[in-house]
Amino acid sequence: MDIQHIAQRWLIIITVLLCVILALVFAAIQTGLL
Amino acid sequence: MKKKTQTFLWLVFYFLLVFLPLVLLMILPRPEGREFLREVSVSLGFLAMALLGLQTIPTSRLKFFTKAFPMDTLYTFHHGLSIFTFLIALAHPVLLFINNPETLRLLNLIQAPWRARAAVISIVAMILLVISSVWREMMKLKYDVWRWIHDGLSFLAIGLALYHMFKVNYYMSLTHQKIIWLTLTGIWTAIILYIRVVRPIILIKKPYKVARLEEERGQCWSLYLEPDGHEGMDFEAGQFAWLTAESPFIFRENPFSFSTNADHDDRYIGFTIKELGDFTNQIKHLEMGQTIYVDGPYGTFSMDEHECKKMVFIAGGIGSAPIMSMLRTLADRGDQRPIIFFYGNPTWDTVIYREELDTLEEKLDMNLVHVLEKPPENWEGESGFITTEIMRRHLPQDYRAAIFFICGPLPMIKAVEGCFKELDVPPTHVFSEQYEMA
Repeated sequence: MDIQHIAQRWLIIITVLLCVILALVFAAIQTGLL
Repeated sequence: MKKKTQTFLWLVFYFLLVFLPLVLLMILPRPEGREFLREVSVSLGFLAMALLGLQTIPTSRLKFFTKAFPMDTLYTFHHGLSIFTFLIALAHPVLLFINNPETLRLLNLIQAPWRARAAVISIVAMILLVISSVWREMMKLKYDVWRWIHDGLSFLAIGLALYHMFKVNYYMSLTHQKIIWLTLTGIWTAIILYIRVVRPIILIKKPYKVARLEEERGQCWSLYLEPDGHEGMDFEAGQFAWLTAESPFIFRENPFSFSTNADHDDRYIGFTIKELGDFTNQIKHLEMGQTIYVDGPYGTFSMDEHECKKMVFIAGGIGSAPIMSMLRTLADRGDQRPIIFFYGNPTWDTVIYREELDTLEEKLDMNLVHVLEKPPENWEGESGFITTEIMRRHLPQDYRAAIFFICGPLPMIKAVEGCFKELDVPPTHVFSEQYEMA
């Protein structure tokens, strides 16, 4: 796989991880867990 | 603007579009929180909305993006991210139902309030979007028909999701959230208007006409176009464009690589097209002077986009078209950088540009390696498919320093990339372009 396709795959992985993390952090802040 | 700067700006823009609304919600004053699952659900809803609107961008063909990333990468990105967007959009109501099963009554479209009806219809539109896109070929949907369905369902999903969000009006009661979502909606609408209205008008104002049509080997045709009443376009060898013989408003267009010399100053542009489907089968019937609309150039698959001291080209069949454009341009420039071209074809008779390649081999510092699936009798060259062993036999010792360009059908690209792993070719030295995009 060339570097551009690898970068594209990583961008999706980072987006997925950030979405999950931010959703959990937001909920934790709103419920006073953080 | 330098490519690295452009890529960096693209990434900043991307992360801002996706995450800014939620991050602002976290750091600025906001209404009180509720149950944990409900808040996770709400934040996933916001993220799904941002990602849903963002899907208008990767396939918009805006030069700002297509100069930073290869077009097929943008389409793959769109496919992958769309599935994820659908999953988190679906997780939004599912978590609400788990948190409070009483909310299941919102699924009753007769009694539910309009904000819930809008959300349900939006999710149904997304389900239909995924089904019609993933199984388009199985459902035998023609590309242009599918594209209208795709756009209609997308507008419905985005519009109704926005309506739902504004009507729920919990976090959306905040002024900064209203401003940011209206701004995002403005950006998405502008992009949709550009794709659907502005670009077709630009294409209609710059038509081309058929100047020459030549039959090539292997059921291929070289189509030469000349600009009709305008200056034409500049392209880089290896790039491609979308062609249509109908109104650009119909969106029945197909991508083809330029196969001609990019430095030629006669303003003609040329494409070599293999008879493979509805549009390509009609190429031979085009009439001289017939109007063709050309949307391009696009793509980063070019030796001018990367620093190349040595080049290795690998193509299968009609995948040689962009390579041919690069070879013709390099020959025209008198470029003497070393080149190896592995060229796979079914038979000797189907080798497109066979005679011209012999001439180019003399003009350039090129080692042309034909690989034939079914070679003729007494064939002394390589046979079968392009394999690691074949590459090892012809590549120089310092091949890792070369830049590799691959163009062909996806199975061929995958197979060659497998060879690169065995050969330990650095991924930063490999650039590929596959045919299938949408």
